[in-house]
Amino acid sequence: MKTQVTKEDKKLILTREFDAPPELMFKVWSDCKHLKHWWGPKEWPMKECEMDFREGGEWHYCLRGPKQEDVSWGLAKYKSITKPKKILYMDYFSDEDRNINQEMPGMEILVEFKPHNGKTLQVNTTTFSSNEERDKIHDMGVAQGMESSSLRLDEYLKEVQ
Amino acid sequence: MPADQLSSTFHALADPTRRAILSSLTTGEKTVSDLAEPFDMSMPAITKHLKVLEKAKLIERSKQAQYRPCRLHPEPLKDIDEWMEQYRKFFEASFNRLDDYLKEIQTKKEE
Repeated sequence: MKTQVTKEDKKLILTREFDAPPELMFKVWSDCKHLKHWWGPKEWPMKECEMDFREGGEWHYCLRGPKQEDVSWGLAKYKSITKPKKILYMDYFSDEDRNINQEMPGMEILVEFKPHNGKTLQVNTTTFSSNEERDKIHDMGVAQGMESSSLRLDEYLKEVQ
Repeated sequence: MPADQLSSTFHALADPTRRAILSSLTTGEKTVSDLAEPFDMSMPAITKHLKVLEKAKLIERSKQAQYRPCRLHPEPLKDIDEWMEQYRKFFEASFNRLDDYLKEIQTKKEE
């Protein structure tokens, strides 16, 4: 079954059924040993992972892409954990020393595991906060009188799809 | 989904120098040497960063002028929808792998 996508305001909701019980789903989200096998696109696998899985604890990870300079550090902070039902955390861009990148928006990610016909319905809700820096970049671009972006945006969309 | 496209914006923004370059361009067009000034970096190193930003379509460089000044092209970051799209792809790629991984570990357990 493929992922069902719902977008609303600042939320991205991804629902997908997995052929595993909620207990196992919870486990594969809460241990580096498991996450190393699946977190990140195949071409950007997670190469480093440190996790303190408890409320207030952190998950620090590094994804590496095809080129040597393709390195992306992420830092998650767990806000609430209910075994085996849900995990709520904040996800930030970071560096290898766990400094949060203030210029990029943080995301709140809620992962819920719902029993469903002997399988699990995983509901992943990502809430995007607005970001001043990003908005500023955008506003300045508009203020500089850039030409209509619709054509470029079309091209860009074609490219990313 | 081609990995290159998935990761071009993501990759371009992952580096602190490149983010600083983008911030600095919010105040207007700049030449490569203007951009290099606040960093303790060689021109070729800065140029390399600019190429990544250009490839991700986050900046544009003038073709005519001798110094090829850079300016911001923020459309890829324009609205939250674009941003969400990057995340949707990231998660979907991960979930496809998770699906395979779950099959793998559950088969092992049964054996």
